[in-house]
Amino acid sequence: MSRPSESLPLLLKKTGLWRASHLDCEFNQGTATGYDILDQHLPGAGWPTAGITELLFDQAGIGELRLLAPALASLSQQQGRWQLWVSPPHLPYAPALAQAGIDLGAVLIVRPTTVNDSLWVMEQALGSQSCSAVLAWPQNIHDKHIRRLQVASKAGHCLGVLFRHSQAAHQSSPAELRLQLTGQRATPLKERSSIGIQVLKRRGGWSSEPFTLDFHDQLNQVTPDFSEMIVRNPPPLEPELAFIEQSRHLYADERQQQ
Amino acid sequence: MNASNNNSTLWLCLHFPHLPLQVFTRGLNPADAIKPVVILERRRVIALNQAAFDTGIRHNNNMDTAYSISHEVISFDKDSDKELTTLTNLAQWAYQFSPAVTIRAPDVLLIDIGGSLKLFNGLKALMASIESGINDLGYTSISAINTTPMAALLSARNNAATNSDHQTADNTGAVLPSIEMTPVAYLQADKAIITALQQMGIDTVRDLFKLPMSSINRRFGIYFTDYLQRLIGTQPDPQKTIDQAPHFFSDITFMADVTNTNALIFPIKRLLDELNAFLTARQLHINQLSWKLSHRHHPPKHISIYLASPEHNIKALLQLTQLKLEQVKDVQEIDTLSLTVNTFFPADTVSGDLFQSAGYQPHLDPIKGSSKRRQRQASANALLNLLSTRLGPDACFGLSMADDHRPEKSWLRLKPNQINDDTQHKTVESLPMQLAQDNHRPLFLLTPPRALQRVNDAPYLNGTLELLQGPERIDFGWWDRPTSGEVITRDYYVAAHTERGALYWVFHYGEHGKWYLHGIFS
Repeated sequence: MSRPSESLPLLLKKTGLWRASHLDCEFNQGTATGYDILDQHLPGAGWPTAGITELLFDQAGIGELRLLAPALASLSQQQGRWQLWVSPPHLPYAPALAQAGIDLGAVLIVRPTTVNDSLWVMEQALGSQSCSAVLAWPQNIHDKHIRRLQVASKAGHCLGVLFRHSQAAHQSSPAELRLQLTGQRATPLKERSSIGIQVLKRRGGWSSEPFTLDFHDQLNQVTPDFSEMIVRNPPPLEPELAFIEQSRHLYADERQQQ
Repeated sequence: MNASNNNSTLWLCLHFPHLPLQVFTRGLNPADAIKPVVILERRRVIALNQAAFDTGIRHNNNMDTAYSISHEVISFDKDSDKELTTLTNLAQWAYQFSPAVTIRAPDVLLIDIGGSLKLFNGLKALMASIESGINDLGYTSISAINTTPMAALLSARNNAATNSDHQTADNTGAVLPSIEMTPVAYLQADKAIITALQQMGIDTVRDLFKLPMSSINRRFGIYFTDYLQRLIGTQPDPQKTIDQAPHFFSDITFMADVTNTNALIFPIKRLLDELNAFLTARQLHINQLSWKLSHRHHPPKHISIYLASPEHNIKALLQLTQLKLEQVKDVQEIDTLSLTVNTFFPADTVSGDLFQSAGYQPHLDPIKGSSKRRQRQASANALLNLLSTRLGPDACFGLSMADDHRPEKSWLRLKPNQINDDTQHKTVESLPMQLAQDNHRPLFLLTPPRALQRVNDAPYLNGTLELLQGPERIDFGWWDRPTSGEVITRDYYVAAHTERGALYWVFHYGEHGKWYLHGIFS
């Protein structure tokens, strides 16, 4: 019979148990998110390289894709691997993707018509090893489906991202990582736009406190109001210019006569 | 085999004595081969399979006799066109072994294998692969080898008649000794000449060549002596070889109507194997193929399969065909299955990356810089093929930039087969019009733009939107519609939903025009 102080390290070593206080031990290096504050909160200091990540939010347009963009840009450099967008709600806009540094040659958009087809597409793509990321906007998805996707994603070394409504936060999910995203009130004083994040689920740690992340952009920068400088009544023209104006009228008259 | 014969011509004759029968029966599952099948010409049996022979039907039986012997018998009328097509296909197939292939209708192929012996590891190995290949295609042949084409043909006919198809005459030495015991009846000559020879008491080729050539010439004419000289090789005998027009067509006819598409897998495999040999022989790749399921009472059903890039991967094609076949619902009966390929591409001579076959290695650093789409991994293309086959070619697309400043026209939709084409990809750098970094573009674009309400001069979307940046004026193509007098400039703004923090891209026409939502900064 060994003493507890000896058996505890043994137990930690032999089984898959870990201490909640140790976030970073034994985890694979993740794909850097491009935001230091987010990297600090994630195991492996980045998005999981394999496994399903869930982003939960109420309202599109709060920056849920911009959050992923730096990671997508670096993943799109992986030779010969697709980034599959499964039934995005709107058209991914090529110039914006290029602005974000994403290689357009890697982007592939699929619009399956049925739920079964879209699950099939996700599973095939995640498990194929030929995708670096699969982004999906599923309408209805059960946790047994997510479990299958999670397994496929591990086999294919592929980042799988599900964009879901925050109602799903109350359901359990086998996903690797779950983030709750909230929109931040635009404050005129801040140039950069920002987003509120709370980690709901992560490997090797409890859920985090909500924190705010600033994007590297100037979307919130307000254009100065120049309207007071608009000249309503133009002053009379300089004499020389007036002459030119006159001759233009003359010229027009001549042409009319012809 | 003599070393001196290594580089000389050596002709292989493939005789297909059962061709009239086998053009109909090769589509059968091995389990169905027990049904008696007869081929009729003018209501007489001219060919029959073993099952029919076992019931007691014989050659030259009347059709009524055949039916009275067995009511199960399946009969086909002899189809000469089909036989010729099949023979042509076989010639194309045999092209993989030698470039000099000659068709001699109705049932003979002559192949010059002299130059191929070294490549295929000798005569024995070559013959083994040819014979097993023919068997896999569902045909049987009788072969003979000789140094002149006519002698090979003569030996093959002799072998066919004496049913000695296990002993292929492998003559590689002098011509005359090898054929001198052959009866004159198998010479390629007029029936009148052969009858005359037989009446003269000349039964074998040896007897014939004992006669002086000049007297044969005088008696039977110049054509016959010319033939004899070509037979023994004293005269050259150039053959017209097939031209390798890249066109592939092959079909299989079923005994009984097929009602279940699952039963098609076996014949599909057989046709794909044929295509495989065809492509290997010519070093070609394909990017599309079409199947035709036809029935005499229904309009034919076509199934086309398109690939993302030209390739030659029969396994993948089989998988894609099966996938497509699962979606076919409205076919009740099929009696003929055919495969057609019309477009071919020369096989890529660029050898691939040494490590590509290992698939993606997560721990290796990706090679940056050279973004040759040509080098896209085969597995990535396989995925694209899989998706576009199951979901249809329109459900899958890629993106590219376009040379236009207007938001709707500054992107292009690429079809699956264009994605791998380097010329289709315009990068930001390759365009003369560069996007200024400080002009923000949304990651999602609404097509078409969505009209918004106007509340207090501001756009309204579940709450008033506050304009943050703008206006960015974009002229909307007066050159495209010069006659209309309407305002075609748009003022774009970045707008924020102040409560929820969502950012939108909105625009309006002119000063007091309607507001539209055009993009979401997701």
